[in-house]
Amino acid sequence: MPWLPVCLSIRYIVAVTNTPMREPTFLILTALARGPLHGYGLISEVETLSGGRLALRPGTLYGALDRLTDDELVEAEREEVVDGRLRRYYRLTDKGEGALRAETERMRRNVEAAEERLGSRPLRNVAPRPVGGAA
Amino acid sequence: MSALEARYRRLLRMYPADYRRHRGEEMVATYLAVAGPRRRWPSLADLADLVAGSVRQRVRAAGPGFAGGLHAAAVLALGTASGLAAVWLFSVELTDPGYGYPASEPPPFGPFRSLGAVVWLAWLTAAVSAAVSPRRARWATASALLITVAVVAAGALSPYDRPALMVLLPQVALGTVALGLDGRAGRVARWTPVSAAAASTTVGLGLGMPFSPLRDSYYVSSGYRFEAGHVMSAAGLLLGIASLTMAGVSSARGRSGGLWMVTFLVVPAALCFVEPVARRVRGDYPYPWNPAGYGDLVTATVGLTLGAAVITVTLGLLAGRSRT
Repeated sequence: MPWLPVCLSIRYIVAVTNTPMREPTFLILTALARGPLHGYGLISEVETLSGGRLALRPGTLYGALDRLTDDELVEAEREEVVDGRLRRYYRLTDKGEGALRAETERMRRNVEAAEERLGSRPLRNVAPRPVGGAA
Repeated sequence: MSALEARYRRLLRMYPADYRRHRGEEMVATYLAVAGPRRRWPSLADLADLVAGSVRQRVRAAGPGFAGGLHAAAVLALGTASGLAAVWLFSVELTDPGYGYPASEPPPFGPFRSLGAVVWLAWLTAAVSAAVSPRRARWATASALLITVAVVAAGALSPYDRPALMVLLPQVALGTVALGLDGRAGRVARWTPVSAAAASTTVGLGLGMPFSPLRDSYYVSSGYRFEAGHVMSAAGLLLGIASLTMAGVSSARGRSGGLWMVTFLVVPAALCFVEPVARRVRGDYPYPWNPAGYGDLVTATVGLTLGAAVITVTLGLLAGRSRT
């Protein structure tokens, strides 16, 4: 079966190199779904969407925007100068909207599956999660 | 220009020049907006962010196959490192040397033969971390790498023995490549190192059992220097076959990461053959089961490293030119 190692290698290579969408990427696309934003606006919006959990730094943000631009999920829309500072606005492309919808659908199915299974469990007293997690 | 802006611009020099021309003004404006009006110095978080971002940008500039090739090489490297760790732990460290521990020999390290057990347990922990907590895998790998290097000093400063350098050096090389493991790895990549360790554990237990039919002379392991030749060679051979196969398939599918993957693995794979090459350096001898001498091992290590480095640079230049 000489073809077997080749098939396994192809599947293995695909499995090794394909990666799921990370939360910061998902939140950047979500932030842009409402309309174009510049860098600082994106950082603020992502922090709001994550409830303060995710504070993107500019280096990380622009690295993510570079990848999203390469993948044609995001593109630069316009530039303007405010108080002597350059602002470049980014918008969600049609392909980016499709990727965001697909990821949202995947997460929604997972949530529905979890809610259905949790619904069949007896209700217990569950302590509220402390804000910021357990110390 | 404020002092803070000047400091951010100096830090931005870590980025490639063409990237600074494209993004520099925008990034400075964003850093200043995030910092606020009262800050006078970039924060440590800003510094770490800029260092990480500049490295990511330089990797990105190397071409689309670089990151994928590095990630695939890291998976294979960690798989090989953890597979070797399992073999050494179960076929050497947990076996009785058969002659006891005379006063002239280093004493046992608890239930283990030497300090090597700590090294191998650290690598097995890194493999498990890659499977169950991928985002912490890089930290676990870095810890195992540090322990591997530190055991050399620990062996010199303590009465306990340590694994031979021809066993530790390839492990360090594999571990360095394994640091490229991406925390976003998919399921197959995450479980590859643990699977390799499990398969090697089976082999190690088979070799280490006193009644194993795989052992034709001694019923116990004679130690690292006697086992390194065939164990390391087998690991290097398997690593070479796996990487070349994956690179060939990747190239056939028009993906450019395969050449980068092979580039990263040339040196670790070459260092697995130090012992057999050292025997060739010494030439024919009447007792082939004797390990190679120290001088021959050094010659083989230097020669293999230099040769592998030349191949690595050549492949790297080819991969850089062939980026799509």
